[in-house]
Amino acid sequence: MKRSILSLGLVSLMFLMACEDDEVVDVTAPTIEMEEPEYGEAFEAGGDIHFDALFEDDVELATFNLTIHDNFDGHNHGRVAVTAFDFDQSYELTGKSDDVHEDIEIPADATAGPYHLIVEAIDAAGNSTTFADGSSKEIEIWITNDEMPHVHFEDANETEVDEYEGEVGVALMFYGEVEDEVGALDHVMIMVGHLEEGAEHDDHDHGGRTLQDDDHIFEKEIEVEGETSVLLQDLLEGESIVVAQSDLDELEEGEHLYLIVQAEDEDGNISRHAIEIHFD
Amino acid sequence: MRQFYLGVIMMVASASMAQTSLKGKVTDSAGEPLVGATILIHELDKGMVTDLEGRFRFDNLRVADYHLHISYVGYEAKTIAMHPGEGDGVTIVLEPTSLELSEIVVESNHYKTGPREHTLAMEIIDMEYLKKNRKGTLVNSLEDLPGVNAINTGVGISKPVIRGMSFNRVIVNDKGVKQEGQQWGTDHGLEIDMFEPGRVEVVKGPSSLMYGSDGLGGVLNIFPPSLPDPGTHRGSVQSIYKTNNQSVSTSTSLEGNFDDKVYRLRFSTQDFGDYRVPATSFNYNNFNLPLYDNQLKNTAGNERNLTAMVGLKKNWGYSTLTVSNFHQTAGFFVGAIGIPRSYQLTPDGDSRNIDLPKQVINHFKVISNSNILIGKNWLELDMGYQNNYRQEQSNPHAHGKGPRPDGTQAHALRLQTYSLNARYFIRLSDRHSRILGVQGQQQSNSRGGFEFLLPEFSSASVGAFVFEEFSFKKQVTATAGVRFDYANRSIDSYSEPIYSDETNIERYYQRNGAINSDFYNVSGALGLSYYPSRSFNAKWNLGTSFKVPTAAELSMNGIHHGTFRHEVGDSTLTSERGLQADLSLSYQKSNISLVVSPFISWFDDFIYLAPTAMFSSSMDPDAFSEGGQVFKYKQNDAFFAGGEVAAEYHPIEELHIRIAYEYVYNYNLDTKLPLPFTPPASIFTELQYELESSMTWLDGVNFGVNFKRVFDQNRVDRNERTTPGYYLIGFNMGTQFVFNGFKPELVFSALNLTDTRYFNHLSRYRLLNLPEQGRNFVISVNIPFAIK
Repeated sequence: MKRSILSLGLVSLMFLMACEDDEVVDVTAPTIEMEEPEYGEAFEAGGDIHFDALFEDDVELATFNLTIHDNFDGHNHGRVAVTAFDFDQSYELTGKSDDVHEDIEIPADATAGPYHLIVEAIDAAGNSTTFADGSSKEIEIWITNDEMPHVHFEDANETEVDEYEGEVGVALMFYGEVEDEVGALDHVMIMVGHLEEGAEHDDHDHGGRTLQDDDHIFEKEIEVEGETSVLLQDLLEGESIVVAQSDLDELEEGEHLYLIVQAEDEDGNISRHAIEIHFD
Repeated sequence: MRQFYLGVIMMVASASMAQTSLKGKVTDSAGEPLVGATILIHELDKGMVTDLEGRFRFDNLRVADYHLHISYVGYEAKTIAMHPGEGDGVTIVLEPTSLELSEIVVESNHYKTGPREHTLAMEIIDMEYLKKNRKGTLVNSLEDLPGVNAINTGVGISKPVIRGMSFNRVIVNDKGVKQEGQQWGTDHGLEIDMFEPGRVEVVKGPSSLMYGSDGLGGVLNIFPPSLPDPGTHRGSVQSIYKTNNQSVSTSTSLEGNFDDKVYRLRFSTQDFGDYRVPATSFNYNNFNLPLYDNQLKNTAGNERNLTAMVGLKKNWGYSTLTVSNFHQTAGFFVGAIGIPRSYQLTPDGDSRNIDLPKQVINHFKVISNSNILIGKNWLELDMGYQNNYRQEQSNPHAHGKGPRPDGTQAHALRLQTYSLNARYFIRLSDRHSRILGVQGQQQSNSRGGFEFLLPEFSSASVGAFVFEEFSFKKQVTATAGVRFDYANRSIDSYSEPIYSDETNIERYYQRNGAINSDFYNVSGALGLSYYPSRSFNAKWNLGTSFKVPTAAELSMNGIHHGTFRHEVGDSTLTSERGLQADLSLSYQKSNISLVVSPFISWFDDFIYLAPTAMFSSSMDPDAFSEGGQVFKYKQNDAFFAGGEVAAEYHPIEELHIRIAYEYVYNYNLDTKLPLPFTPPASIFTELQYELESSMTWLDGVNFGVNFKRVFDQNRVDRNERTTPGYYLIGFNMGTQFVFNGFKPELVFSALNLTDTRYFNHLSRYRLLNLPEQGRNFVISVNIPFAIK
């Protein structure tokens, strides 16, 4: 009996050695380096998105997939049915390194708002990038159109401004107009916080990035159903927006505070307008 | 069929009506009578306890072959064969043991002999073990056994893994009928009320000979608790509270025996909130996403389970009918479908609500179990009907040009299964017995919902086997058997409309064509058990096993959210076949036990999912929303090896030390890589101290600590990530009180006592970089009561 146990063990050991041959198996997934578009970049409906990315693999590239779909779910409360721009296509890749340029046409009737642009790649052995380890890439882009709401930032004298001056510890005052030329407005979100931009974003280490929704110093959502024009000062009536020194200290180098106004109309078009608040 | 029944009735009727009795005496090795030992006649499911002289006597028995299970606390359980009228009866000598597991009667459906004579390695646990290890699902209660693991989705959904094999490669038999409920899905748990089983046997190794298709990794045999003796009516109320997810479970049972007409009722509930993990955020898709209050939002769930049984025990055998319904609603972590987003994770103010996405499972079963005396031999007949209705609900993806689907029903799969198992036991001589078996199953699957994954199908299978058992010189048992199987899978084709706008259909995309395939399999097994002395036992087993390709493997074409993959079946797949060798060496003394069980298996045409260099959009640009990488079912040779080592030691009577080690190695000869979902090696250690009580109101107290070391899993498949190892510490304390014969039990335990942050390689949420459940205190109360 003992001998048979021993021989069984021996046979299995030999078998293990026989099948675990020395052949190196490619289990390394490709890498994607996104050049364009940049995080938060805006594109006009009817125009093109220029896509530029560098794909690399240690053995042989095979395919990449580009998806663009809307990211309205978080904000439209499911009230409006929109025909959002939707794009899903795969492309062939060759060699160990492939620099890809593609122009993607945005239909003229695309709904304005935030979209996700997602890039995934697979090599010839079937190794793929994943979201779990961050090797698949996703960025947010904005599509704009003529029908979306517009925002004019003004000072107390109804003069358009391109920056607000703020003072630490003192309530901030904002003026301006949110208008919708085609159709009517649905709701407006007003936020004070930092804004993620492509240039700022690339310097962050991966995994540390937070969504723009988080950690706003001020956030308010106002229903304005059926209105075609509303004033910022009316929407903010009774609100006291105060920025403390600690809020400024939390900003990373090169980051600024913004007043962000996001407006959605009854057709589902979402637009976002931001203006820097300057502190001395 | 009618002729068959007629035949059975005639044979029963023609059996000699001569009455006889079985009697004997149970003593310890010194010849002292054992008072109150339990004697159970397996074939009749009738039991009694020995009297003050250690004697037992069953009267009014038919002349037939019987097997008696004899058990007594502190002594090794025994099974013996007996034939009525054998002189003045037998004297059964029980040997003392301090190993709890040796006290449990082994009563597997097919083997009427004792644990030594079995040729397959087995783990057997009883109600006491299950009570002490309640973890939310039955499978989780078993995962500390050597060779057993669980694939989890959160805390309420788990499926069994035996020796690294899972899904359709393990069989779960509940009351002799194979549980059927879309086992192919990672997030499809086992639909069994965790309070209902009275005993669980885990058979490891090739089991196709006895159970047919899917018996590759092993079998979980679930048995109901034993029934009370005539005139006794009793019940119990159990309740469990867990702090981590504020889980409340209850189970109320009532059972009794009116002159061998038996009944049992059980109603169980579970309600749990979102569970907590030792983390405040997790990384995914380059985002650091928040976990507010350490909770995984929408992982709450509930269960409502009902079981009702009636039965009859006569001297021609017994028959029971069990009707049960398992109903579970379980939320999925909000980010589990698609890419998790920060805005989805903000708390909704209620950690106990079950929002979308969620699954609602209803599993209805009718099972009939009978054992009928035909001539001098016994026919075991198990029949079952199962209706598994699985609803998966989520918000439809805004995608494509077609109409937006109404409602939230993504999938609605209804799987109906009819099963029949018949086994006829023939005793040819004292040393030679035979089992003739027939198994049949008929299945149909219908679908609904706005997503498509698995088409409608029907399938049928029939198998027949003969199994022989020989014993020599009271120290060797040899078993041998062959089996023939036929199966058919008939799968409907499915085409999906592709819209050019809201209302107009532009064309159709065919997800899968019609499939009608037949599968034939011949299997066999040889086994040997050698037990030259009371302390040593060697078992060796060589068997073939097979798995008919599942409907999913043959026809699937769609995004499987359970794995984040686009899975595509192959209609040309053939049966997967294994040749498996097992060895189990055990050494047992009254206070020490060591079991070493290595195994080695070779599989021909092992079916696995192979990644392709394609995306869903490469197959059709319009047919799939939120697609991903395409994986295709392929088959090639695979190799498995590994084993378990289990040791138990009692340096003093009160102290129990148990250590179990397990390891699985596998290798896909096609990819030259390991297979996915392979459990990492682990060591489980448990120390248990039992205190006798001198107080009249306290029966005893036991304390235990356990320690689990799980090693790194670095052997992974392509596109599967490695998982680092971890340590877990647990604690438990149990007491039993005595108030006027009323004996409530109280168990307190702590799981993951140190609140360790770790990943489970087999967890569905591992894919999302989510750690496992944190510290959890469990309080469990069991109040048995008797009705006079």
